[in-house]
Formats: sequence, C-alpha cells, structure tokens
Amino acid sequence: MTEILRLEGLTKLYKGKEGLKRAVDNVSFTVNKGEIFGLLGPNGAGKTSTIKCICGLLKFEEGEIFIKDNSIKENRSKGLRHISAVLEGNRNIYWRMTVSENLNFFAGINGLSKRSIANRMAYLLEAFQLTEERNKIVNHLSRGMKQKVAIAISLITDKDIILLDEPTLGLDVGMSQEMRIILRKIAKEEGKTILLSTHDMKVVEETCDRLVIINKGKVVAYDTMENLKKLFNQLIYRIVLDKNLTPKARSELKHYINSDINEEEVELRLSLQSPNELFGILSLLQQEALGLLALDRLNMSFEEIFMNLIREAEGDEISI
Amino acid sequence: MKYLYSFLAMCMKEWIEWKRYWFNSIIGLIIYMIVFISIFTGAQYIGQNNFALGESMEGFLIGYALWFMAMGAMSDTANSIVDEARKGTLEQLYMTEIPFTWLLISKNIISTLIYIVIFFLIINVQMLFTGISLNIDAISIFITLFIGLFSLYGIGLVLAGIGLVFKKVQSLLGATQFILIGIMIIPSVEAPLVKLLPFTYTRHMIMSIMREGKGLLGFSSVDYFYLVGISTLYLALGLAAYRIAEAQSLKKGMLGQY
Repeated sequence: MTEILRLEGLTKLYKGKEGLKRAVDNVSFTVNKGEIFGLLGPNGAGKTSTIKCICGLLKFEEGEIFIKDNSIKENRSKGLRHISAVLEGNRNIYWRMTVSENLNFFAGINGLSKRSIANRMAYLLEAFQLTEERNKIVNHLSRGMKQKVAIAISLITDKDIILLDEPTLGLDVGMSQEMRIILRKIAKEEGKTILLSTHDMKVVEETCDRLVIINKGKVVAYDTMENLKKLFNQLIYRIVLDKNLTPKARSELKHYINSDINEEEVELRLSLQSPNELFGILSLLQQEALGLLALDRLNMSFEEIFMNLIREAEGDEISI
Repeated sequence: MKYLYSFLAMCMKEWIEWKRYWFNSIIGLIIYMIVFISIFTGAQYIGQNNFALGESMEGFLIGYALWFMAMGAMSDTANSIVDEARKGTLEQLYMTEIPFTWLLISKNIISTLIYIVIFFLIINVQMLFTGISLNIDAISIFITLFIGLFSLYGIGLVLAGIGLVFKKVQSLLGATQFILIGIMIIPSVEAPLVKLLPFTYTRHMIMSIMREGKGLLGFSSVDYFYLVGISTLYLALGLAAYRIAEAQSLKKGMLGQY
C-alpha cells in the first residue's frame, strides 16, 4: 500500500492558566492511499487539533507532517494541494448560498473554472442525491443534507485526501447510516483516502480500515479494526448463578473478575487466559453448591474495547 | 489562470450576497440620504454655508459622500473576515492552494468597484437634491478613488487582525467612524504629517477634481507619489499587521472561532 500521509511525533502545545498543555503529544501514524482511517477519542482527546495541524490551520511545536512526502511545515501550500476537509460538522459552507453556488464558489477559489467542474458537479449532486436540491439555499436544508453538501464540497476539487471532523455529529440514526454508506462509496468508487475523526463507534466500526485511538493527546492504540477487536473479544464469559457467591468462591474467582462484585452479584463477567480455565471455575461453583443458570461467551462491542483502552491508558483497571 | 478563476469566484460570491441582501443595502442608502437631507436642510435653515464636513456646501456634499464610502470600505474588510471566522468558512478559505492574501485582495478590488459605483450614485442624487453642480469627471474620480481606497483597506486589515485575535471589534469600528470624520474635515494637506494620514490625500485630490475641475493630467507627479505611496504604505502596514495576527491565530487555533 502506498503511504499518502505521515505524522511523526506531532506535538501541539497550548498555553493555559496552569502553564503549557500538551493537546497533541508525540502522535505518529501513517495513512495509506485509498483507506478510511479513523481518529478516535473522547472529547478533548486532541482529534480536532491533530486534523487542524494536518490542514495547516494550526501551527505545531514539534514533529512533522508529510502529505505525499511534502512537509507541511516547510511547504504548506504544496501539501494543501492534496487535501480538502470538512471541519466541525458542516461549517465549511455558506448557508445563504444555494448548493450549486457553494460548489461553484469552492471550486473557483481553488482555481478551477465553472466549465471544468460541470461534469464532476453533476456527478456529485447525483451521488449525494442532491440534484433536486441544487438550487435551494443551504440554510433551508436539513442538517443531514447540509452535511452531504459539506462533503460534496470537499470532493468538488478532486483532491486525494479528505479530512472529516465528526462527519456524523448531530445526525439522526437514518442519516448517520446514510453518511456511513456515502463514506464507503467515496473510498471505494472515487479511490479517495479518508481520515475521519469521531467519537461515534458505529462510524468507526462500519467504515474504518485502520484507526488510531488517542486520549489526552497521546496514542493509546494504533492498528487495524480487526486486530483491535481481536485484542478483547476472545475470552470473555458471562455466568449467571442461582444465588450469590459464597465467600470462598468470591475469593477464588476474584482474579478472573474485573468488574466490581457486590454482595448481590449473581451475574459475573469473567476474563480468562484460556477456555480450559472454565473447568476449574465450574468445578468450584459446583463444590460451593452454586447453580448455573447461564453461561455465554461475549463479543465485545467496539465501544467496550474503546473504553477499556482509554481506561488502560489512564492507569485504571480494565472492566469487562 | 488559477488566480483569475479564484478572482471570478470571489466576484460571483459578492454579487450573490449583494442580491440576497439587497434590501439591507438599499435601506443603508436610504438612511444615508435621510441623514444627508436632514443635515443639508438644517444647514440651510440656520443660514450657514460653511460648516463641519468641508469649507463649503460643495465640500460638505463631497466630504459626506466620501465619508460614507470610506466607512463602508474600511469596515468591509474587518467585518467580512470576522464574519467568515464566525461562520467557520474562514478556515476553508485558508485551506485553498490560492493564498488567502490573494482572495482578500480580490475581495477588496470587487468591493472598491462597488463602493465607487455607490459613490457616483449618491453624489448624483445629492446634486439633484441640492441643485449644486459638481465636476463629475468619471475617469479621474474612478482612478483616484480606486487607488486611494486601498489605504483604508490597510486600516481594515489591521482591524481584522485585531478581530482575529481579540474577537470583538465593533466598538473599535465605531471609533474609527469619528477618526474618518476628522480626516474628511481636514481643510488642507499642506502639513507633512497630514499628508501621511490614510485617505487624506485622496480626499484632497477628489475635492480638486470635483470642485476645481482638475483632471488626472492636472495633478503633479508629487500628487501621484502621495496618492500611490500612502495607499501602498497603509496596505503594506495592514497586511503586515494582519500577518502577525494571523500567525497568532494559527498558533492558538483561533481562525474558526469567534
């Protein structure tokens, strides 16, 4: 795979009341051509700062960003030739202009003539189901429609990399799903590279090929979706008992159980190193005269994986 | 060609926005005319013909129209940048291959043309209303104003830069109205420091064209040196100040905030 974007030790400092704060702290990752790459993290993790550094909208103190091997620090405009972005939802559009006026304007300020983008504009309007809305003032469109217009604008200049900051923020379930389909379509049919920042697990789970998880400015995980899922979803079992754990059983099972156990606990979530450990556990439960009502193997949702990685990074115990 | 297309795109946007907000523009002009008529009628009533915005009624008429146009030109740059920052579109303009400075200059050129058209419009209506006759040498006035207005864009850029960093500039813009009134009533440009004030020399030359019937060929090279030099100086100062503010804004990530 061809590398198209590379971050090397990116560090962004902000001056605060308590001195310098590292909003982005030594972040490194690469994005390959044609992939959908996720930048995931809780609010305030440093996602938007990272995206803005890539766009050249935020000066960074340390590290380097290379877009198609062009250093953004040394030659910002050369790097920007390959990038377009939708920042903070859909704030990249003029709400008092129509859909086609917006598309024409953004193509124009990027040095493209009206004639040269005519076909591409027709294609994008069709692809985003905006043909009927082309002459409507953006302010009169729904939030989801505005978001589609914003993404269409980022594609009108036909650049290689599209940066999307929270593309599904504030969208309803249906529109969010439609947006995920659109993103996959852009990557597949247009061959575009998409870097999206979000805290919407569903978007990441359904669209991203690889991702980096950041928290408090630092990289917590950086891998393919598949590998990150494998990390956690293999050996988690749910056991439901007919009565509370005895003191002996509680004591012996303690190291398997990551969630807090209280006196009333009859449902347990166990994290095992090997499925064979189940034999010992079941035998213990039998000795203690505890009846087994249910035993399931759990598949962790990506949200749980994410939360665990964040907790792990913060030094907390992982909960299952 | 890229620069030409971006210029045309800026033209298109200005035209679209004017079309959408025509009511606001017309109301602005009507209010201007009402204020003008009130001052003019008041002046006639008290029998004074030599007050405030110029040495004579002709001077007042030109000075008042110039002041209106200058106010618009100066606040236009600051307001448009601050407005783009508030809407979030400023960041998009910064992400184009075409330098933002070019987009800004394009916008100023378009605004200049619009303001000159407005100037001609209001000066003609004023002449019609007052019965005062002035020399409307369109080419001389156009060229002088076109060059002279860039000194005010320089000031507008300083204000826009302040707006980018400190956000609220409305009170500052309000204060500049009074500074501009001061510039419009300066009777002579003989004092060296007065010559260096923004737009003062432009006003002086416009007065000469419209009141004394001077044409472009009637001005000396020194006059042109001051006209072009002062506009270039203030535009350069404005761009430099804006660059400093822009660097601060890019460091703090404030381009998209207001």
